[in-house]
Amino acid sequence: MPRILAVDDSPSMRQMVSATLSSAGYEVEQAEDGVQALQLAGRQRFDLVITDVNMPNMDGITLVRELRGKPNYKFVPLLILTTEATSERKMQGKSAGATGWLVKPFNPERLLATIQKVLV
Amino acid sequence: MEAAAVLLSLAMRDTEHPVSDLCGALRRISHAAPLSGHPALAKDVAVCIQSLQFHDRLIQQLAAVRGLLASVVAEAPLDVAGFGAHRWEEMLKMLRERLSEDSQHHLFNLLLRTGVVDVEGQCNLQEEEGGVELF
Repeated sequence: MPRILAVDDSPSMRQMVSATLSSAGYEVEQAEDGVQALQLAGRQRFDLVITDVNMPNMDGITLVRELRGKPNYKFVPLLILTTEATSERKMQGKSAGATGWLVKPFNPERLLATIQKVLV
Repeated sequence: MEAAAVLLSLAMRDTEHPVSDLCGALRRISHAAPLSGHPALAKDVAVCIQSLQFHDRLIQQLAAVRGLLASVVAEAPLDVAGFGAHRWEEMLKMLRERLSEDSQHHLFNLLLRTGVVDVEGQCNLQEEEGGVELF
């Protein structure tokens, strides 16, 4: 099964994303900010990364930009899951190399459908 | 204001463990029974997961308010002589710069009744909830 890295500074959000993804059979690793996510992504290969935007140490947009700069993650789906919903923020994500933008609160069924879609 | 910030911290901390326990229980339920074979249970778990995210949002907003209170106490004492409209505007600007999320700006405007409360913008944000956009 594909391996997914879930990045969010909120422990409960990480748990909810993790519960949703693992219930569908995905193997999930968690990171609490962009710095930790980059370290994990450097050591292991993930098939998809889903990240929050506003986090301490390194925000999600920067994380996406950094990952896209790595050969291993050039074509890996990078999803942003955030409360931010303005077109300006979305453009920032798109420019950084994000694959898609999901607005919290996420619907588990819709999240899984989106992940299936981008993993194809 | 310091007392208010401490009270907020305590209230947030009080909910931390119960919510974490609840998330853990949901995760175990998801693992214990393949939800695909139990559509009603899957729907209930989905409702719990979606609803719990509003608690997370509340915590984020309270953290922002606590941060604002701490900023006011630390950087902008209200009892200084000559505190007037100009100083008030400076302080509001300083506080606004500390807000990271659009929703926090909405909350700030609602709390202090400053600026124009963007009702239309707030409605748009609510319409976007749960939205998915692939680039």
